[in-house]
Amino acid sequence: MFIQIEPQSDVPIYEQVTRQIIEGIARGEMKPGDTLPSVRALAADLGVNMHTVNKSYHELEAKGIIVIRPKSGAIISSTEERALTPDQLRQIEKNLKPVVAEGMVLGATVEQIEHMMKKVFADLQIPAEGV
Amino acid sequence: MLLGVFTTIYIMTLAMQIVVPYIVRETIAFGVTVPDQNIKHPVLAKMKKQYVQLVGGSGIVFLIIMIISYNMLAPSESLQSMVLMGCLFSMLTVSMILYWVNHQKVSMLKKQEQWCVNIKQVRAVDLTARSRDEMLPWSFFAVPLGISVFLMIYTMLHYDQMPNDIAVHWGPSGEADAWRNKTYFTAVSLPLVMLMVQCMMWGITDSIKRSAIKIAVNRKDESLEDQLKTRKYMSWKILLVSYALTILLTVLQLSNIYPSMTVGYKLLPVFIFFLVVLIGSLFIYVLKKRKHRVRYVANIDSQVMDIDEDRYWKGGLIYMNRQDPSVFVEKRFGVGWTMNLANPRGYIVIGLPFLVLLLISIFSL
Repeated sequence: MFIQIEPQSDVPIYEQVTRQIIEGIARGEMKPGDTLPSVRALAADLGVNMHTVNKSYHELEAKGIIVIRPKSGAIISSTEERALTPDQLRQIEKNLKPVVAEGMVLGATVEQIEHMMKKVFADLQIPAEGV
Repeated sequence: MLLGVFTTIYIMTLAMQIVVPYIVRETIAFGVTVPDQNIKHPVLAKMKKQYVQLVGGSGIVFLIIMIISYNMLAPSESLQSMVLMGCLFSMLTVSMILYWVNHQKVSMLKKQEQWCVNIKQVRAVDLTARSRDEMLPWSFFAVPLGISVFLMIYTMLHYDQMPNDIAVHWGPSGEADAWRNKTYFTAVSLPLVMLMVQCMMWGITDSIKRSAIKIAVNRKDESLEDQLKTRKYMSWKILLVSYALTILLTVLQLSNIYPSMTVGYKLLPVFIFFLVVLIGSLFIYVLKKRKHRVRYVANIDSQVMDIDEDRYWKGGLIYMNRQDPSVFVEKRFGVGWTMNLANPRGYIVIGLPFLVLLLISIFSL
């Protein structure tokens, strides 16, 4: 699975790494039980500091998407392991709020936003070419 | 004999200089990053062709001068060797100057035509690449270390039967031509040199393993394949050289303990074997490198390109990037790898064994 980092972007690099790994899992390009490369190796391949990758892995762990085990590395959790908790749902809602609010202010209707959500969902379910 | 060996080395070096523009990545022309969108610029192809013609032409001229003046200066050996070295370095200087001129020209062209402007620069990484890395494990590089240690112990056990003069230098025909008085230190200096070189080879391979697997964003699958093969063959090449050197130095050390081994030209085949492995492994590496090189048939129409790292490459040759955790990166003009001079780890891997080697040669050779 390929990820693509843009160092000149306003989005911090660790955030880009986190988002793209999550997207890859959503697409099914990485399956539960798959191992992510070691922090050291991924940092070398990206040409960034180890702390950047470490931060991203810890964020993924805090979200319950991966499990970091000493020696064997970062492993993607299975669906049972990452069963959706009310806490996680609340967090997603919180993250969505500013985006929906922006749409409202600009005049998007409920139908339009609903349609958008369905489209994003469908897009992620179709295995994409490359990234 | 000397002329023969030297002519071979000269021709090999010349051949390397000539093929360089055609084995390095096409996205790098004379040490300057060329975006995929401009890769088939007509000026670049012309420059490469001209470079090969000029380096090849002057190389042949120097070779003729070398052979003729070598025979004319026949009685004086020091003059002869000066001519040999002089011609080799003149050839290398010509190719360096031509490289430099072309490097400047491509840089100018890039600036004038505004390549890389308005193209998004990204870095692509394959998360599964590491699990497909086929570099040899460290245990392969640890084996010869054991041989060196064993040889040191063996030398100590047979110290009394060694002759009073220890050979420390050998001529091209495999005969010793310099000796030192026997002490415990000079007796084991050869296996000690061996140990240091083996450590260096191990360190280099290990550092390459920890260095980046770089992928071209517009040609992901092919460039990944190229990277994995490059790393694999590089580790094989280093291992071969390490083993060949171990065999050569072991034989030389045994010939110090059992002087009857040196009678006649008995050692010559070992020297030839070592040279063949050294040159042969480089040759195979270059062939493999060329086979897996990512080829472009036309300019690529894409919104993204790989990150332009020109500012970290001084003159397109010396790499200094503080942010990059990689210790070794592939050369941008030439065969092989070069060190990231801004990474202190590299100084330990290369510098420490080198320092010990220097100390050994000062005190024992």
